[in-house]
Amino acid sequence: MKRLFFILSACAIAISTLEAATASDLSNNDIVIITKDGVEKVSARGRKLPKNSNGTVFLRSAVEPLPSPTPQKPSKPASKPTPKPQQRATPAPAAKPPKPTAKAAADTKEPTIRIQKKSTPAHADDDLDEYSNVATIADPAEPVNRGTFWLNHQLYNYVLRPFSKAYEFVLPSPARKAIHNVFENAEYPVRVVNHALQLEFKRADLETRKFVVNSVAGVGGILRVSDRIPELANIPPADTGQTFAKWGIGHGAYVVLPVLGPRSVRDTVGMAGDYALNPVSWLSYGGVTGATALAISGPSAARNMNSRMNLYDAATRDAIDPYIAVRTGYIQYREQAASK
Amino acid sequence: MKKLSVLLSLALLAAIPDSFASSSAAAEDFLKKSVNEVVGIAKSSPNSSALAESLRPILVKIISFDAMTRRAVGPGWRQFTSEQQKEAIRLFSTLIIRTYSGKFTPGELPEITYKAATSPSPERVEVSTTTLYKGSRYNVIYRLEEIDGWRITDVVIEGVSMVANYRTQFDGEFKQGGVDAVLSALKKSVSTP
Repeated sequence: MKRLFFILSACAIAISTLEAATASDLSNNDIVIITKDGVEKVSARGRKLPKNSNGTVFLRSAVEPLPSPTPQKPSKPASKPTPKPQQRATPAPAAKPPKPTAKAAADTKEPTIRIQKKSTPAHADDDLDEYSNVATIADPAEPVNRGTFWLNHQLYNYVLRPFSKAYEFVLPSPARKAIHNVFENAEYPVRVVNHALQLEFKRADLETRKFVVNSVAGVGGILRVSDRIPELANIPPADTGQTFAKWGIGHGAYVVLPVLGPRSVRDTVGMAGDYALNPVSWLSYGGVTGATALAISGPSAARNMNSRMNLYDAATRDAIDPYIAVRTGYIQYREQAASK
Repeated sequence: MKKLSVLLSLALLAAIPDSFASSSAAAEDFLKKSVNEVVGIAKSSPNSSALAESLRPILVKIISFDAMTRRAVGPGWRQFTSEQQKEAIRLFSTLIIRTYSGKFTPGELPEITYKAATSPSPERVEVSTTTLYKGSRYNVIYRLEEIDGWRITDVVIEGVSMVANYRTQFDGEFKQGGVDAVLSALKKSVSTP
């Protein structure tokens, strides 16, 4: 009984050393096979283990004392054949010639070499794939989308751009800024409702204060006085599509809408929500029609178009493939909006 | 003796974040200086094509076009000969300089507020800024790396990374026609104003 225990413990030590060695240092895998006929020493690198061997396989370091200053385990020669653990020793790189055991201690420091390799990223090749995980979106309707994209491009260039230029020409910059501010201020319900739906009550509160400050002190929103109050100057934007994103709804597919341009299915649905929350679209419900409605919604449309033209130009002007540039830009932008 | 070793290890621990802090501070200083230089030139430039010309010598010193081009092309870069690589870097830098200078409208200057810089790894620093331009506020992150001194390797505007955006475009070209397709697409973009 005592003897069995001795053999078992010798095996356990051998296996644990073997595991430790294969994990940390493969160059140390010189192997000793103990059979009934005697002892055979094998290098795990150069040769494979002899097949059909009844012998017990040990790491040489487990059965022989190392001549190094840091001896590992006391040698424990086992004498009886036990179940074979030799598969563990085989997956060693086969290229190097067997090394003398005296070198084994120095070899244990091998893994540190790999760290040095990483420290020259500037001209090494390993940074090439740094941008492989760019946010993407499924685009099953790409051919159709490309068609719409092309149509929009013509529309922008030949119809809307002249209009937008005219808007810029007719109205000086301060007036355009005032119009922008008024409508942005009026879109307050879109932001406050969505902040609340996203459970961002602090932001909803800040948004309300901003609205009050700009409406009262900024003369109906013409001046953005809130820019001078640090905590009101940079409230993250909120729209319905972003609310859907925070609720965990994915983008769905990518679509290019006529005139309006790129959207995901989620944000297209969200846009309907924004429309419903935008006071400019309440006009017809309030009995405002005809020239008055046009006078109010006209500048709003012009201002939207103007900023959209600028965005479109910035995204496509120096692009390799404008369609892809807009698609990637759109999706990255929306990802960021949803993460705020 | 024990006290000394404790003191020493404490000093070491203190030195590690400190070196990070000083490297990101150096990167931030470099960025501020470069941006001021660029804005100074933009102020005196009559139009954006003249601006591109006068900005080139400065941008070459502050942007690593080499790293940008390699990463925008991706693993396909290994298939470029060194001549083709040089050509690609030349074309891509022209495109980037034009994109960059096209963002300025003469007479309107950006107002930039610098926020805290972060260091994702020892040789990299990201400086985020808020840029107020033409009445709109943009979040702009500059990514810098230490390559023969600090260099800008990417600009991320409102979450849209310039390099990542080009990467998705080049990927399509490379899949269709390899190195030649990438180069001819680049040439085409550079030649269309």
